[in-house]
Amino acid sequence: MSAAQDDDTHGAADPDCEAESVVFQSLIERLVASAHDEGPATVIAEDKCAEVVERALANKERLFDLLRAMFPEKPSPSSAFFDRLCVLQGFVGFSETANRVVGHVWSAALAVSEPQTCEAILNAFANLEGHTFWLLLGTLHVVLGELELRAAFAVDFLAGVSRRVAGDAGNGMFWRVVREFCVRYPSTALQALWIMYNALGDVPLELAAFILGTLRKLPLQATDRDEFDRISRCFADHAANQFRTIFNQSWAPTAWQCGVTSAELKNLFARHDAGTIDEKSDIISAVSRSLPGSAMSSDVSELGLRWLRDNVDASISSLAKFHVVELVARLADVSQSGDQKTLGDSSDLLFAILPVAIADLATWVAVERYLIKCCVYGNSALIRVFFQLAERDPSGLHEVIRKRGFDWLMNKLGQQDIADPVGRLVVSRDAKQRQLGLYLFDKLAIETIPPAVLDESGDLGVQLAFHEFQRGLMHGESSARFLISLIPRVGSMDTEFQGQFHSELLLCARNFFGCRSELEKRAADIPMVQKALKTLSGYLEAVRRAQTSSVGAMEVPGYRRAARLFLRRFSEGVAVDVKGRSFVMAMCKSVILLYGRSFGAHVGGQLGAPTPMSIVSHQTELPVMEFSDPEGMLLRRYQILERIAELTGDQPSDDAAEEL
Amino acid sequence: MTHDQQTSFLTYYVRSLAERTRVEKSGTKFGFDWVIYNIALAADWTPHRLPFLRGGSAEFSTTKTEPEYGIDLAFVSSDRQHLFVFVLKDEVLNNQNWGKHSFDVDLRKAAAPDLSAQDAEDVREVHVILAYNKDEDHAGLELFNRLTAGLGTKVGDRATLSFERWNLTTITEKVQGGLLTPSLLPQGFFSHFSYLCSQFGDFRHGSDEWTRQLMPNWRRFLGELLKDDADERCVRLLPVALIILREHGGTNPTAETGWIDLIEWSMLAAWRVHQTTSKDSVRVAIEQMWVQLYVAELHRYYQAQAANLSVESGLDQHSGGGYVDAVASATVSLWHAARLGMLALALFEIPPKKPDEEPERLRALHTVANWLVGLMNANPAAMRPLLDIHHIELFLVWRTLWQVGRARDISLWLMELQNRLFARRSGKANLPFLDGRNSLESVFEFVATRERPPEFCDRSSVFLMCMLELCFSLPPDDRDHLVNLIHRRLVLGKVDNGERMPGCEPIDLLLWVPPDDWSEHVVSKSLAEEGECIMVGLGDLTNAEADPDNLADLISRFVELSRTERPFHIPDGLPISVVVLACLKHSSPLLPEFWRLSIFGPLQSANPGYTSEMAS
Repeated sequence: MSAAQDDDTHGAADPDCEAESVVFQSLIERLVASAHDEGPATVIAEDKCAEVVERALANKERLFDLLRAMFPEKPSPSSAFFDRLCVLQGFVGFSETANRVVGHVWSAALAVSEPQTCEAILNAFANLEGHTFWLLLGTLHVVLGELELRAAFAVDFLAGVSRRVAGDAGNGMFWRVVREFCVRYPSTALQALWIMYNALGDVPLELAAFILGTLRKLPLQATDRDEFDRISRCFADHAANQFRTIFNQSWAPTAWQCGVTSAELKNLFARHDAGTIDEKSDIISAVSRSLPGSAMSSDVSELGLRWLRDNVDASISSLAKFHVVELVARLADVSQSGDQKTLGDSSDLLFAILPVAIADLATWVAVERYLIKCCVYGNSALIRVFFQLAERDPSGLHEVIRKRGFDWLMNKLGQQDIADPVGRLVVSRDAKQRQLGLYLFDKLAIETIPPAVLDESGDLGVQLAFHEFQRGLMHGESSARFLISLIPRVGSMDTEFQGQFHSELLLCARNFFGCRSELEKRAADIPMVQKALKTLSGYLEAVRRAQTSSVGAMEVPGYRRAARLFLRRFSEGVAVDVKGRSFVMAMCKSVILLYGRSFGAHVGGQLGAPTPMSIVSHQTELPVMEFSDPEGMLLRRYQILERIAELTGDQPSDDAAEEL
Repeated sequence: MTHDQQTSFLTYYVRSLAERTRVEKSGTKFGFDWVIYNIALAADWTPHRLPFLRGGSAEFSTTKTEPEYGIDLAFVSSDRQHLFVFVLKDEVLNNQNWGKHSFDVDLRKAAAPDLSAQDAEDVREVHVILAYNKDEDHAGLELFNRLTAGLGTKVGDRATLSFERWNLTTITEKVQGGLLTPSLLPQGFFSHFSYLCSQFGDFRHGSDEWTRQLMPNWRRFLGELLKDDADERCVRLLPVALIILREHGGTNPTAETGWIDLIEWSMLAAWRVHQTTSKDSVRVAIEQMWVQLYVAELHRYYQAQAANLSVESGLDQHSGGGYVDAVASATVSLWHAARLGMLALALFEIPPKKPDEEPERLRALHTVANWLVGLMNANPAAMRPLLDIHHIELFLVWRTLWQVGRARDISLWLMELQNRLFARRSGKANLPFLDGRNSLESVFEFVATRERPPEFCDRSSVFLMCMLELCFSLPPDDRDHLVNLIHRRLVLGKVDNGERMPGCEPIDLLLWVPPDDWSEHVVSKSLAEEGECIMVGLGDLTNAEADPDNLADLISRFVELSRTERPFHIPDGLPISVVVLACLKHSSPLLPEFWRLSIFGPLQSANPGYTSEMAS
C-alpha cells in the first residue's frame, strides 16, 4: 500500500510511469509474500518486465524499497539470501537485462552490508549447491563490475568458483565474470595475479592464464602497464614449467578477446622451438585454442594453421590433442560455407595427432562432434574421414564407440553403403582394424563383405578375418551373415580350413538361435550350410533326448538359490548400468514400489492419477557356449591367437598374454 | 533292474523269513505270515482267522496264544462263498520234515474247518493252501499229493474241499504280481516306509527337499532296519525295500539317479553291518547285494544311458543363471563320472568265477572306460572339478583308464584338465579355482555374486598333490612335462614365461594321512576332520615361487619318504570300491595309498612309477 502511494507521488500522469508502478508494486508484493513463505500474490505476465524494473531501480529510493522488501533483515550469508535473488530472477525473467537487474540488486545488497558480510555472502555463493548457483552465476559479472573486491579475497573467491565450474558447459559465464573483474579493476587484477604467482599451487592455472591474457591488451595506466610487463616476464621466464604454461596459455584468451599479431604468434613459435616437450604441447594447445578467432586477421590465422600442420604430431600431450581436435571441429564450422579444402586440411590435423588415448574421453567426444559436422559436406566426406580414422587408430575408435555408443554417428553411418570400407577393415592384416571392422559389421548390420574385397585380400585375408571372428563375439544374425559372405571363398580353400569353417558354422548355430534362423533364411540352399544345419538338427535332437532323460535331470543343492541370486544381481547391475548411461534415467527419480498393481505420486501438493504398471523389456541373445564351457572358450581364443600369429608370421601379440 | 534280478532279491527275502512274525529279545523276527496276509488283502479277501492281533505295541501285531487247529490264517472271499485256509511252514517240503515239522498233522486239521461261524455261513468252497517259503523234493510232493487225495472233497455236507500248494516261487510271483508296496515290509516299517515312498515319488533327486527331508528319513529307516547284529532277514529286506521304492518313482524324472543315491547309502549301511557281524549268511547277503544290486544296477543304468552321456553338452544345466549353470553342470557331470568310476572299480574287484570269464570281464571294463571317455569328451563340465574333495572323482577317472592300460588317454585327459584349471587359475574364466573347504554353497555364491566369500579357500590343495602323483603313471617324458606344467601354472600360478599371474598366490600342496582307526570309521562317517595333513614343500622354502628343475625327482622322494614315515596298509575285508564309495558319500579325503600302491607299487618296490605292465 505504501509503495503504491509512493508511486502516485513519483508521477501519476505518465502512462509509462504508471505501468512501472504497477509492475514494481507486483514485484514488491511478490517478494513480501516470498519472504513470508506465502504463495505468489499476483502473477505478472509482462514481456518487458525486466526493462521496466531496471528503469524503476534507477531510482535509488525504489532500489532501497526493493532491498527492504527482499531482505527485511540485513542481508546475511544464508541460503535465504540467494533464494530471494532467485525469486527476483523468476520475476524479471532470464534475459541479459534481467541478469543486469538481479546483479544490480545483488551488488546493492552487498554494498549496504559490512565488508566481512559481503565477503561471507560471496563465499556462501561459491559453495551453493545446484540450480541456484548456476542461475545466479549469470548475474555475477554485474556484481563484480559494480563492487570492488580485495585482491586477496578476489583470488580465493574466483579460484573457488573456478573449481566449481571446471569442466562444465556453463563455465563461459564464469570467464565473463573474470573478464569484467579485470576490465573494471585492472590494478586489483594485477595484484591478484601477483598473489597467484606467489601461491600458484593453490590457484587453478587457467584462472591465472585468463587474467594474464585479458590484462595483456587492456588500455592500462602506465604504472599498471609496467607492472603487467613485469609479471608477464616473470611468468614467461620462470624456471618452473607451470608458470611458463600460464604465460603460454594466456595467449588464447588474448587472441579471443583482442586478437594477436603475426609477430606475437611468431614469438610463441620461437618459444615452442626453444621449449621443453611440455612447453611445446602448451604452445600447440594455445595456438589451437587461438584459431581461427573472430578477433584474428585471416593472415594470422593462416600463419597459425600452417605452423600447426608442421608441428602437430602424435607425441603432443593429451590436452594439446584435445585442443587440436576442438580446432578441427571449429574449422569445420567456419568452412561450412563450402570450402572443402579447409576441411581436408583440418582432418589432416586430426589424423596427425592419432592415436588418442581411450581415457581422453573429451577428445573423443570432440572427434565425434567433428565427424558429425563432416556430414554437412556430404556422406562421402563422413565416410572418408571416419574410415581414415579407423585405419589410423582402430583400437581407440573401437573402444570408444563400444563404450560411448556414438549413436547418432553410428545411425548416420548405418544409412550409408559402407560394406566395402568395413570389409576392408575386416580382412586387414592389422588385428585392431579387423576387430573394429567386425564390430562395425555387427553394429551397423552390414549385409555382406563384398566378394571383390575378399578376392583382393586373398586366402590370408579371409583366414585372418575368420579367425578374428572366432575370437570375438557377434550377434547371432550378424554371425550368420558374416559366415555366409565368406562361403564363396572358403569353397576354394584347403580342406583343413573348410573343416574349421564347418565347425564354426555349427558352433555359431548352436550358440545363437538367431544365427540358426538367419542361416535357414538366407542360405539353406548352400550345400555347406545345408550340411551344417543337418548335423545341427541331429545334434539338437540328441541333446533334447539327453536332457529329457534321467542323466541330466537331477538337481544340484543350492543351484536354484544361486541362479536366483545371480539373476537378481544381474538385474540390479543392468539397472545401475542403464542409469549410469542414460541422461534421462539419471534425472528421473527411481522409486521401488513394494505393493500394488498401479503407481501414484504425490508431488508438490498434487496427487496424480494412478498409472497402471507396464512391463518394458529388451531381449538380447547370449552365446550359450560362453556359459556352458567358459574355460574351453577361453582356451579356444588363446589357440586362435596362436593360429593368427602363425598365419601372420608374428609372435603372439600382447593380447595372447592377456587372454591368459 | 531286470525282472530276473528283482525276482532274485524277492526270493532271497521271502526265503529268509520265518513262519511267524514275532518280537524276541534279540529283535523282531520277520515272518512271511505278514506277506501272506497282505497277498490276501490285495486279492480282496476278508480275514477269517489271523494268528496275530493287529496293531499291537511297537506297530507289530501281537501273536495269539490260542489253539490254531492247524490253521495259520484263513480268509473269506468277497462273495463269502470261498474260504481260504493257509497252513504256513518255513521248512522245505520233504520226507524228513513232513512229520518232524507237522506238515501232515496241520494239513489234516486244516482240512476240517469249522464252518458254523457267522462269517462262514455262505461258504461253498474250502481251499486249503500249504504255503512254505522254501523249496521241495519229490518225496515231499508225493506225501502232499497222497494226503490231499485221501482227505476227500467235501467239508460237511455243503462245501467242497480242495488243496493248493504255494512254494517259494509261487509266493515270490504273487508278491511280484501285486505286492510291491510298503505293505510287503514288516508291519513296523509300514507307515514310515509309505511316507518315504511318497517322498521318493515327489521329490527330485538332489533338490533341497530330497536332501533335507527324504535323506534323513532314509537314514532313519536304514538305522532301524540295520541295527546292531542285524540278521539276514533284515539285510535281505533292504533290496526289497529299494525295489518297492523304485516302483513308486512314477513319473519323477530323477527317480533313476535318486534310486542309485539311495542304494549307495543303503550299501554303506549294509557294509557297516558287514564289518561287525559274525554271521556268514549276513556277509554273503551283503556281498550279493553289492554285486547284484549296486554294481549290476550301475551297469544297467549306464548301459541304457551311455548314448545320452556322450551327447555334446548333454549334461548342461540351463536356468539362465549365467556361470552358475556351469557349476551345476559340473556337479551333475562329475556325479556321473564318479559312478562310472565306481562301476569300473567295482567290476575290476569282482573276481571272475571261471577263467573263461576273464575276457568278458575285461571287455566290460573297456566298455565302462569308453562310456567314461565318451562322457568327458562330450561334456567339458566333467573336467571342471569345483571342490578339493573332487580328487576322489580325479582318482576314479584315472583308475578307470589305468586299469585297462589307457596311458595315452590318461595323458590327454590330465593335460586337458591342467589347461582348463589353468584357465580358471588365471581368473579369466569367470569360475573360481577349487574350494579347499569343499563348500559347493561357497562356489555358487562366488559365481553368482562375483564376490569371493570370506570362507572360500583356494590357497591349499590335496587335489593338486593327487594330480601330480597321478602323473607318475605316465611315461617319463609325458610325466615330466605335465608335472612341470601343473606345478608352474596351477601350484605357483605362473604363466609359461615365469611371470606370476595377477592376483595368483602360490598354492600349498597338502597330503592327507588317515588316522590309525581309519578302517573302523571310514564306512560310517566323514574323516575329513581326522588324521594328519602334511604340507608338501617341493621347492625352496625360502622362495616358494622357485620353479625346481628336478620336480619329478622331488615328488618321487616325497612319496617314498611319506610312505616310509607314515606307513599305512589297506586292511583286508573291505573292497577298495566300497571305501571309495564311502569317501564319496561322506566327503572324506581319499587314502593316498589307493593310487600310490598302483603307481609306485608296494613300499619296497625299487622301480616306482610307469611300468611295462602299464604299457601293455
